Amino acid sequence: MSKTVSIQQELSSISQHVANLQKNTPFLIPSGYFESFHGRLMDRLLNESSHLESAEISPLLRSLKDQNPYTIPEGYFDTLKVSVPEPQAPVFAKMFTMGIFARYAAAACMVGIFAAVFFIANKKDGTPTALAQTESEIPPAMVSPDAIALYLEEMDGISFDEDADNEVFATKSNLLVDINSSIIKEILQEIPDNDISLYMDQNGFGDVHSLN
Amino acid sequence: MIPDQDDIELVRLFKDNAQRDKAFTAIVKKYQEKIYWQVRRMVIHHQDADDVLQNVFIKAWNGLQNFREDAKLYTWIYRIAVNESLTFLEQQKRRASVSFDDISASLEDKMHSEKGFDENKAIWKLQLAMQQLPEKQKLVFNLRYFDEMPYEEMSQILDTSVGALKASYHHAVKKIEEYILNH
Repeated sequence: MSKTVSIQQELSSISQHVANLQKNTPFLIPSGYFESFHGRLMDRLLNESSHLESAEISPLLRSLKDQNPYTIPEGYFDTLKVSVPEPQAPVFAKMFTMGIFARYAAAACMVGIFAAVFFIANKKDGTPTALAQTESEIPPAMVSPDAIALYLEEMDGISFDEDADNEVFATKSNLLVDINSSIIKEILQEIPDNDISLYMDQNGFGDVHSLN
Repeated sequence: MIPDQDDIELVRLFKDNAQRDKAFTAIVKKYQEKIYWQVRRMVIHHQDADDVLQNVFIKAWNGLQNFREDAKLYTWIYRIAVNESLTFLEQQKRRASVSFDDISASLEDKMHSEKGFDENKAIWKLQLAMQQLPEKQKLVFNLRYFDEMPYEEMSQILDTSVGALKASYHHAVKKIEEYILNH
């Protein structure tokens, strides 16, 4: 009796159901796997033998390879717990605190003020027409009507109507921020009295005292 | 099957340095498919089977120089394959810190991911049923059912008596039948 028949009979005697099953294995393999297996195996053997060759060059090193001088406490790996540190907030975010931001803002304001003063101080041309023309060149941020009115009142008792069309110093399109009186004095000092008087006559202010 | 005389000749040629590579090539080509499928049915994934198969033949290469010619070559190679397969499964178990039941489930999951898997087909049901078996029973069933290995040769490979192997095979077949009928 052949071996295969014997094994098949044994199987049938245990389970006819299993004996009737197909014996094929359903797993798939890559195409050409067995054809290339030997080549890959020999490559691996070659690599491993070169490691062995190194060991043959230095038997001392080879003999030391598996010897570990270090010891660890008993049960170390059984009780080892790895705690993952909580992620820290990036340092980058802390750089821009309000304090630092305020300092930079203050410095920018000071630079802007110094630039405005420099710009105004360098204005030399004082003719009425030029004055009338330059009023639009005065940066709106440099002079406020209240500040100028206050100055003029303090100096010569001139009162200004807030609603007056005060083209010299400000227009509706030129709403201004405060500027100190010393700057106004400086501005007006550069303008001859005659020019101021002439302008005021032209604009209906009548007799006024010199502003200088 | 190629007569054992060829195996004796191959071992003799391997021990001759000048003929070693040629002899080893012949041994690999003779046994690679049988050993591969034996391993594949144990570990399921092709890549895992390829790794184990390479390990088997590397061990064969390293051990053939001292191989005693009174033993059968293919029995010896099969024994290496069984040990390497079991070692692989043991390593997987340790890495994942899982029990035997979990490794069975893990192998089932691997099977579900295989290309062409169809749990309604009988051949896939058979493979699934095999994963329910304890490792030794699975080995016995594999060697007897697929490779039609005589119990005497199986005894040398698994270092187990013929009687125990027959009982193991009987239980394995019954469990597989029960699984297939109930799924």
